[in-house]
Amino acid sequence: MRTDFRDAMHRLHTGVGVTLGGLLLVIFWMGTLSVFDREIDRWMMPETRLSAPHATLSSFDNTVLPHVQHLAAPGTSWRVSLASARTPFHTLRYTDADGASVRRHIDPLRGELLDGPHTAGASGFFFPFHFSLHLGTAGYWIAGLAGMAMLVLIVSGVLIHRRLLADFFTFRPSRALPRASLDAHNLTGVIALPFHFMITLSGLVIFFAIYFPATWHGAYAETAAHPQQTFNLEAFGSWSRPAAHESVGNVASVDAMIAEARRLWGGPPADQVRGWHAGDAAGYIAVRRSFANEVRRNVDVVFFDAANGERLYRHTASTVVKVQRFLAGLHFLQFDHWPLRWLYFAAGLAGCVMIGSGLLFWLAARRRQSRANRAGLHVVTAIAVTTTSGLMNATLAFLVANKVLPVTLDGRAGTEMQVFFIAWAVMFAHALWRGARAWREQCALVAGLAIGAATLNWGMTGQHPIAALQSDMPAIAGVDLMLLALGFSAAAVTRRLSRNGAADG
Amino acid sequence: MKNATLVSRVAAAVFGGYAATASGVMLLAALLPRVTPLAAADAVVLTAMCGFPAYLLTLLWSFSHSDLRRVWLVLGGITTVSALTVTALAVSGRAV
Repeated sequence: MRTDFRDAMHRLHTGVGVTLGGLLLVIFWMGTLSVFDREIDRWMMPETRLSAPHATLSSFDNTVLPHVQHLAAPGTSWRVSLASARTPFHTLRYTDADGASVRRHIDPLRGELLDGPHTAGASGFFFPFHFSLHLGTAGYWIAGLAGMAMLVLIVSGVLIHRRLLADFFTFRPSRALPRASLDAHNLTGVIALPFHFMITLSGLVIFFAIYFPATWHGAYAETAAHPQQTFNLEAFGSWSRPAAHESVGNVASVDAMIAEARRLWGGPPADQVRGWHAGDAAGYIAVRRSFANEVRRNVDVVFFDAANGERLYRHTASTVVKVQRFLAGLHFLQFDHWPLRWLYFAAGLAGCVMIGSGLLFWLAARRRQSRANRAGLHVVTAIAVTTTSGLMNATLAFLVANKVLPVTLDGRAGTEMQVFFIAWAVMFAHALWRGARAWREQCALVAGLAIGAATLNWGMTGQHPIAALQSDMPAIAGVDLMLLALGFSAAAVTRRLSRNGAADG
Repeated sequence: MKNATLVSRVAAAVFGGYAATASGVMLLAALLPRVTPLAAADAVVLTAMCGFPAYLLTLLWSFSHSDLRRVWLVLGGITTVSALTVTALAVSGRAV
């Protein structure tokens, strides 16, 4: 390989890594947490800790439909995610009479509305953070740019290696920091390379319609008046019809719709029921097939007339769309498979270590150069601290706030998120103030907050890990054990940092 | 690398590269259903998915090619030609 090309790749890898490494670390961390978002949800929402789900679903007409009719404002749309192995309750999302979006949980056996939720939970906070950074449309584009940067980093990172395999079998943790962190960077980078490339590319492919938004204009220029709507109908079955603005009291049996849809699919269960134009004569309801037993996020949707139950439209995806949905399914990980879920979690953490150790290597190497720009170094150190230990502390503060804030507090879910961002800002200020000493201090705080969060869960709900396992709540025990593992490893790292005197930085 | 050159190179790669990729994707999505039996919806999904590796290659090329002026010219040329062709196709399609 030509040397000037390798030099260009080397500069590219360093430049992109230093400028966007912190952002990538945040996205990887939130994505890794989202692997277990439903489990963290149940940890954060004690009222949803129902016993193991049931093989057969009870009647939708009796347990869910009355709530929909009572709660959803006339003319609005609503959506019910049906109880499954990972979520033993139905989730109803609707628009109330004041126009506010509301999420409520329903006990699938008794058909009662559960209290709360008093929190956005992992699925409402970590998960959207992962792809939109809670910044709306701009957030999707920043995350997309970060995704492309990740692909550039992966390819340039491979190209600058002269000895890919030899580097893979080299890890010298006892050596000085630049060498040890470079080894960790190479080890995690190479071992999970296929996963990191797959997860980044599939993450981008999910939002192809956002990142290449004009594509349908060329393809549908002459055939359709509404290119985007026509494309969405043909590719993804986004069938719709306008409201009749004429109210109707009767709602047909949704159980019968689900049964009819299952008959058409040849057996597999439904996982979502959506309704449009509630209470309107032109209202319609869609039943979607479950993803639980396949990788692909299918778009097998059947539409019914809400008033008389007549079948209106059935969508089946084309092969090209199935490929896109397969890539999306690889990323979304909505299939039920525990060993694979843990592998995703481990590979996600490996990604965090890879990005973090890359930043550390750059910092340690710069620090040894006498001519280095001290002020710039200080800021990059602060950013590295904030996106590693600072991010962990903000996440843990969010979990602790979930246990400490009173259930009666107005706007409690929003307050929890504010706690996250305030804690993160405090961590950044602390890192700017303390410089490299912030590593050890924030690491000690991680240990305290993680063990504290697990202890608070025990104190508030009585479900310590052993009790959780005995009452068949592996999700709760799993979150607690991960918190304890994080807490004790952070304590060990703090001790090592103090002993090595690395605090002088 | 001088600062102005660096800014120009990053702008060429990130924005110029995106414009060339997105317009190229749009052109292919318009052409494929016209010259092959591929359905319009499939052409959109297929070309948009291929847009990501295409953008990746464009980024790597823009950052590694030694002649920055040539990078701007090639990316600008692809963008202009693709955008004009798509517009021409759309106009002629509507006229028919």
